[in-house]
Amino acid sequence: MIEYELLKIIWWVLVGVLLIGFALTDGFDMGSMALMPFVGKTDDERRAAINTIAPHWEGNQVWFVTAGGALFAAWPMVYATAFSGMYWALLLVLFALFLRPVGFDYRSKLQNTQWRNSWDWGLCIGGAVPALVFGVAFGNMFLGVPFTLDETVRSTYTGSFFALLNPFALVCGIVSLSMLCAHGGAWLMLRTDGVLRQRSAKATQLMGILFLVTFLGVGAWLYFGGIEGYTLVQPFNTNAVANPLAKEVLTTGNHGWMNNYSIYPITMLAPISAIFGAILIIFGAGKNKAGVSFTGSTLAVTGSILTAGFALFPFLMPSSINPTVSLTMWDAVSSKNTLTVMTVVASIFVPIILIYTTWCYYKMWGVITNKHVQDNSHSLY
Amino acid sequence: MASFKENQKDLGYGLLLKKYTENVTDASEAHIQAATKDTIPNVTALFFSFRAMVASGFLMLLLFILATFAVAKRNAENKPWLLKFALFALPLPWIAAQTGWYVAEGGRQPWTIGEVLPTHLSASSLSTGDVWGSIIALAAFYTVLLIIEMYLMIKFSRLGPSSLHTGKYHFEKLEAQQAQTGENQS
Repeated sequence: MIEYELLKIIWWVLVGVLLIGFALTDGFDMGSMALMPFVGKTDDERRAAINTIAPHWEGNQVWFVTAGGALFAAWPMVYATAFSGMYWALLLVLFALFLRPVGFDYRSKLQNTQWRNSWDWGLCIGGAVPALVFGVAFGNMFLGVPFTLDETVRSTYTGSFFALLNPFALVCGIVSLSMLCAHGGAWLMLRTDGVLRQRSAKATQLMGILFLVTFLGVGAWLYFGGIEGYTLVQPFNTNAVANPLAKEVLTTGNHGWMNNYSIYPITMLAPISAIFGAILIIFGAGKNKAGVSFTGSTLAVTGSILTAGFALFPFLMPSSINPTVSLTMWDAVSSKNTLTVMTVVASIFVPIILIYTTWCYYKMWGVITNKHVQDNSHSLY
Repeated sequence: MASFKENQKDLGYGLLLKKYTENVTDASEAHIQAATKDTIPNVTALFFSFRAMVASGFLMLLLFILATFAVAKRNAENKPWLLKFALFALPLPWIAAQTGWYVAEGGRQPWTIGEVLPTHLSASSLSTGDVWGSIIALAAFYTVLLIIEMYLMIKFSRLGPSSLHTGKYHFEKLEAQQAQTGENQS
């Protein structure tokens, strides 16, 4: 039997792994589709771009579904508060995501140019909007979310959809949008050729620069911008039965969210790898080296998600109106029994999923050329 | 802990009372009566929904068995009644799913988790307007998709296998033939 405290840490790590897995795989789907109408000028080029992700996008989306499911099972309080509180933001993501399956399936069924153009923009929205909103949501975690819990631990959200769209959170949205666009651009560089690849390299470089600037900007804003951090008041029993009402929380003035980095300097590796990744993206795109850019974007995605996770730790969702009910990974979690069962299930199935996903990429690897699209015009997307 | 174990089974019923009175320990006889009444489901509706679901299931099973024989014997096209049955059976899965959903969800009321968590406490704190807004948005979006889908479905069922562009099927042959006669005439 694993200790409850350790189980809580395991699930903090696992949800992080799922989020990173989602951002790395579905990330290039979203990024490449957000760039597709811009880097693909002809129908064949756009189809080539779409067909680089055709065999993978649904499988990649499962990372998103799994992250949602793991959130529900491991951190039910976070799930309830986030999904009800940020209701319209999540619906916006959902409606944007609706455009993807229909876009992929309908687009090439008719020859009509207007029809194909419309679906191309639909796919662009389906990639760009979720990428932006996820960043906005993360940004709001640093500011605190206006919710409170009653004595039966029911959460009530008092903010509005437009309150989520504050300047700080919007800059965070641009961080994630540019990051995933750079990732998607690097993916297109790997999997396409000719002008499409050249334009993708240009887009990747531009997005890499935008990511680097906004990522550093958010860091500076958190340090100098007077955003309050949250700290858990000690003594706090991390092994206790989870109850988000049984703790005290202090908000700590300026650059409070940076405290973890001075307490555990090893965590500095996360922002360093994000910045190093951004440099690799820009360098690789400039030299037309797809592998370098893609390695860079992989580092950037992993690094920036960990940067946010480390900064917030142990908080998951701080409350701006009632800090003591802030949700942390110690007290917004499921029971020990649930976490034990989930750990067993995850340790069996996550490796299996990783193996067959890798196999799928291995089988479907290769450069998608315009000729390939023309030769298989009636069986491809 | 001992007193918790002793009263564990009743806690859910206490929460059920919360719909009628904020402070459960002060509940009047009338409150208790009202909460008790909530636990009795709509038996007539459940009775018929359940049977509609099961009937749909068995009809589908029957169709599959008959169809399996017909396909094995390759004589399905000689049995117009079977083809009609198959056509009119199209809504059966939907009916079974909807009535089954009602049996599961309606029949479980007033609980989300039986005898532990009542529905009125497990629901989110969203406003009615939020929920209406999202339902209307979903219905509108899916109606548009339905129209597009029907257009494509009808177009491609008319084309039949010719849409695969293998050159083996009726419409393509017809097209090729017409092109040829056109050439010959000119």
